Amino acid sequence: MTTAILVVGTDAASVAAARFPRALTHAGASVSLLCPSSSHARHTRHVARVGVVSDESPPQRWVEALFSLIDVAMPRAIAPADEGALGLLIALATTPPPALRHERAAAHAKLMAFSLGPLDLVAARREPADAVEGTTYTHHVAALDGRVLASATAEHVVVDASARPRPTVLRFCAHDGVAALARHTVRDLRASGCLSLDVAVGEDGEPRIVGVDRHVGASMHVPQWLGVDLAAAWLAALEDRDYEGATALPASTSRHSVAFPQEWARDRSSPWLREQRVDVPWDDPELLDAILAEAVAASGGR
Amino acid sequence: MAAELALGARPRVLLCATAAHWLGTARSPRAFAHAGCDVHLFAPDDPLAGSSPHVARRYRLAPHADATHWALAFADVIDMALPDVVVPCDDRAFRLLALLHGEPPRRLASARHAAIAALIERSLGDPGGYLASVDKLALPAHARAFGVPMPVSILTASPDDARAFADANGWPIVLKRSESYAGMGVTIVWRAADLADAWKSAVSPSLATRGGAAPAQLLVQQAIAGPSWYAIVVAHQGSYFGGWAARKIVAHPAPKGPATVTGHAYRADIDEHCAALVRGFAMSGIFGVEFLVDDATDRAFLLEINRRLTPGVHKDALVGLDVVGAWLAAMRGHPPAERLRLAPGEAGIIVNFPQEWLRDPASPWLANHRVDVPWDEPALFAAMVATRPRSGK
Repeated sequence: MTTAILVVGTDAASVAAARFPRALTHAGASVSLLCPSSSHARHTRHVARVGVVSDESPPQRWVEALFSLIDVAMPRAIAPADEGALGLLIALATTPPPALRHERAAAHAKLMAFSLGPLDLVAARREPADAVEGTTYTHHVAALDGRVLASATAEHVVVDASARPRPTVLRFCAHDGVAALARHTVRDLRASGCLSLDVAVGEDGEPRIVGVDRHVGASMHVPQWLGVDLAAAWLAALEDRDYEGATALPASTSRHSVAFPQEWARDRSSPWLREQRVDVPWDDPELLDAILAEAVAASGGR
Repeated sequence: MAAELALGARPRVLLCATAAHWLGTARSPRAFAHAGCDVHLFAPDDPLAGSSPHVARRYRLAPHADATHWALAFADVIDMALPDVVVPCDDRAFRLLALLHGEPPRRLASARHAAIAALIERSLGDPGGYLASVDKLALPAHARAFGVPMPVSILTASPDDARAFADANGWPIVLKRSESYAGMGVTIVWRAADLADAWKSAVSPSLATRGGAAPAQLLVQQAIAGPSWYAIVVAHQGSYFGGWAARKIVAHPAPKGPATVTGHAYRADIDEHCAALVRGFAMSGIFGVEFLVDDATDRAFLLEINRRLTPGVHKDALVGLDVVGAWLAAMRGHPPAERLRLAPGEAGIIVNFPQEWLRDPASPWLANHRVDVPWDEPALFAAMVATRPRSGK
């Protein structure tokens, strides 16, 4: 029987909500998605069902839509795809609204704890370290009960500082120090699910955590391209199977990936777009249509 | 030395297209605009070319215009656009320009025609070579005279001669009409048993892509086993300034269809052959020359000359050359400031968009290599994505 996964994104701009369903579907999951009506993600062809909430809806509407999708999809696990979704799901589990039936709230809390690990540790995430001069990395992890199932490191090559700083060009590589720190952190948090850690490595060579995102990250689907399939590793663990693929990048790895549409939105004339592999959702044409339609509208039809 | 033209700081270029949905037409305005040209476009309504923000003014070509109507409309466009130079974007546009140069419509006043003919000559070069360079039946004799190798061939009206040719030179053979487009008008015959049907089909009037009559003769050519190479050539009045060439790696439909993935590299023989052809036909402009490189001998054989923009002209930045800039410099009588040839050993792969994506959206070429997307033309990018067949999820 196919394992059902529910991906939840409350941010209309969530790239993870748009891109991670494909990775899960290719791994063999049946994916349902809950997202805002203006989200690109709703157009992806790699989901079995989509629940849509209009952008102006109050939180109560999100709660209703979430539970009606859970009733239909009966997910084995939930994957939040952005901070807002993580906050909503945790709040529902830890401080359920009075109107929510007790059994329902308890079932949701149990599902979330299975999906993410102990909820008190999700809520009490590590305080970010002070800013560190040096190289920053995102370490993408699939985990279960504090055990890293598979992971991949990517150096931040270009960062869009215009809004919330985010990497738009990544260089996937192997970094033993980053991987070791991530392993310890995942163990300490007894984390499950797909999460990412931002790590800075200063001049002293010491890796330091600068952020932990307990939700699917924007580039979490990319390591699949390099043979490290985080979605498949997580799904295999959920199904109590062995994951047959690579669990880490080979030491010699050095491959750039240009985030789309992030780098394209940062600079249409970026040389990275012309010189490196760009992570366009080529096999998801309706999603591509939606991204382009928004870009064309933003540029006045040109 | 080629005579120089008095071009202003921002030369006005008129792109002429007779076909819609032609990628070369859609992609080239950016290349010309970035090189400093004021780009005008005379073309049918086209969602692709119509998406370019780099066209200063558009002139609409009525659908189904015949040669006379096209010529008169073109003359009106010239009066409005006042171009310094005209650039054909497809094979038919080149042939119509050649025809207009030599055989003006009666309704076109001679003074007007003289001005247009001068424009065509400074854009395309010596009119003596216009039709000879693109006529499949005439090209072998000219190529031989210029010292450019072509596959062994004969001209004949008889399938029996074709059979005898194949018996002497080996199967398969290729049957070609004088005019062919994108593989139409070209037939590969693999064995003797197929020759009669292939011949009948090749001489059928229904195959005349532009309403022409059944041909009296066909070119019967030895087939060369090996990849196609496409050269982009910059020339002015018989002087060859350089260009670059790429081999076909993936074709759609395979094997005769257009390339969807190409690999560029320097080949000295192709460089030399292009120079000889430019000199021999005294050509001007930016255009394409197609070769086949024999797997057995690694020798390049001329296949055809496409005297129009090819879909590679805009790929300068990907290849690291400035074709349009060099062409402008050549017309001004200046030596090109930038290099115009790849270095020996320099090579790269380009995935053509949307062609490879239309062939296979899950293609590993898309996932692993540079894809030629119009990144800074979002509307054109969207229009290209919209060209895919809609078959639902």
